[in-house]
Amino acid sequence: MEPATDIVRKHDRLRFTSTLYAPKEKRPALLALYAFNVEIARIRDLVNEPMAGEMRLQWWRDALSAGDGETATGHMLADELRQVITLYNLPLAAFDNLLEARRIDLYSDPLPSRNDLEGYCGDTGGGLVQLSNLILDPEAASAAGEAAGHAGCALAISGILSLLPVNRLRGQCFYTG
Amino acid sequence: MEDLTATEPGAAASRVLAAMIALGRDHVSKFEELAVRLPPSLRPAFLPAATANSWLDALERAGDDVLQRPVFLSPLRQSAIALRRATFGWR
Repeated sequence: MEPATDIVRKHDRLRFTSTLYAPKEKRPALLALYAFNVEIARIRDLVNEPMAGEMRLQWWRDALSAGDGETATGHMLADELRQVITLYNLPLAAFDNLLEARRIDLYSDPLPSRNDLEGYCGDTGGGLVQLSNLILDPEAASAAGEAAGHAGCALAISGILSLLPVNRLRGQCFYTG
Repeated sequence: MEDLTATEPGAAASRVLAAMIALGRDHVSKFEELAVRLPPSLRPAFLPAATANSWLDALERAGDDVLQRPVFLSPLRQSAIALRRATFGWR
């Protein structure tokens, strides 16, 4: 298992760059969060069948919900993220939303409406921004939820479009117009 | 109903693409309105989204090519945007 820093540097250069502007003491938590995002975002590429992907998502759900006090999973990133969740009092519901939204990645069914697309982008991109906010400044984060939602949607939509050929090859369509 | 998996480059695909780019720009616009009030402490969380408009510009320039070839924004450009927003915010 690669350390979180290596995962993010290798697979999500944009977010890796953003952590360089965060206070040094917050970087490990942000990198663990972004590495988790990389891991769950690439599940579709690592499995042959949706059920195998569902099992991986469920593994993460169970690992995170067990809490930091429970026996270590032995998975470096999961154990690190559990410590981050405890340290920054991050809501498990937000992680559940991220994991639930990633179920959509496992199937080739298109999102039928603009609202569904925005929901997916809000849960994935927006949820990640808001969790980052809670790590960076929990007091200010509560007033930044709406901005996080729009920022996440904007970035997720541009991400989906920039990778259209990849999504087309694997038969995945995020939106029908 | 058109989707971007089944549709070959053409008018229908262009319409779906244009709709998604417009949706992306709508969220950029709403985000930037709110971003002027963001405290500097939260800027790092929003830096990736700071590049969204440039991504959408690149996608628009590429047109139907985006169905065939991934669109890239140079790492240098991404870093420059992040540096500017980290320093000055969205004022």
